[in-house]
Amino acid sequence: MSYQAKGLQAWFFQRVTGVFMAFYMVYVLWFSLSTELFTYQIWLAWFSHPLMNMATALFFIQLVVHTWVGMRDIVLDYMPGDILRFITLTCISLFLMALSIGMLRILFSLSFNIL
Amino acid sequence: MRFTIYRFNPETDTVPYMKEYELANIEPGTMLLDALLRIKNEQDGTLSFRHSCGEGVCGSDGMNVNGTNCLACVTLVDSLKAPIVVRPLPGMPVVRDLVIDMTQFYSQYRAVKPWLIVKDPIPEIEFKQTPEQRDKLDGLYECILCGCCSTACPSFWWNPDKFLGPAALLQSWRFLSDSRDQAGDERLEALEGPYKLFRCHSIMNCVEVCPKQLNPTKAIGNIKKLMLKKMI
Ligand code: SF4
Ligand code: SF4
Ligand code: FES
Repeated sequence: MSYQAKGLQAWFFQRVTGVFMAFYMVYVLWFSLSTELFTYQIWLAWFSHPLMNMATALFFIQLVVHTWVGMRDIVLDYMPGDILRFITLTCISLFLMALSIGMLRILFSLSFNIL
Repeated sequence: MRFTIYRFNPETDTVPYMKEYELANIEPGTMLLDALLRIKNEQDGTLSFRHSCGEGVCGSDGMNVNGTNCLACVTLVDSLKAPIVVRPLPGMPVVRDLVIDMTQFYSQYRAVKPWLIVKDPIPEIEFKQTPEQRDKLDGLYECILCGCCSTACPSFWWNPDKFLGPAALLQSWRFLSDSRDQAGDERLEALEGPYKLFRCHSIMNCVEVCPKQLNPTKAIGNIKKLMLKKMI
């Protein structure tokens, strides 16, 4: 049965991605709350900035990694039997892959907007 | 005082049941083990449980009392709320009444190779350690393998065959921090993978119940830190 990012890496990724995402979310929250007139133009300019665009891309990649490790932990802990675990993990990974493709499409269309 | 005790004899019972006992004239300072022995001697000779030293040294009488794992011989009856509910350590196969089959626990212990591995020629007289090196083993070597910690650990309940459990991991750290041991890398290598070490989520049930006040969670954290250091 194959579990990518086995022990140490998974544990380490979980922490690193957690910290990064916490910072990102605080920043996004702070920016959107502190901007008085938050129009679509401001939003677009903000998200199209290369740094913000990159950070957002990173955020979603990390979100997928974080979710994968977290879900894998739950499955390994609470699901009995290797077959059930394997099926569930396969479904989760397919779902996460679909999600990532969708996310990347949105992000790329954003970065094309400024070109 | 009233006791409710888990009973199961696989030869005669199909399912386990709880049996009530009433014990009078309990002297102050009586330990739970003494109370159980009185019940066995005065009321019901068929009641089975393990015990030996009677003073928290041998680790034979781990049991679950009012929901918490402990050693009966060092648990004051006065400190417990009546009725005292006594069950075998959770999550392990029951041999009879409060006696559990510890095979899994011991095989996980054996899996961490709880002995010194030395590759250099062994010194003729003795291994020398500085007092500081020796101090690193304090809080680790005192484990009496009672099993209270591992059987209180949810991760061990879910994966007793794959997760090594707090007791074994504490011993793994004990040998990893021993200046005389020369198999550190192999030991760390053997702990990789999602199960053996990394099923621990620092829930700290193990720390709470250890009758020797040891801290397996900290030891597990130290192993993770050492792995991280080696990775970088
Ligand atoms: S800290 Fe780890 S080993 Fe201890 S009870 Fe929790 S999961 Fe188990
Ligand atoms: S660490 Fe504590 S609770 Fe666990 S087996 Fe050793 S003495 Fe018992
Ligand atoms: S009887 Fe030895 S530890 Fe309790």
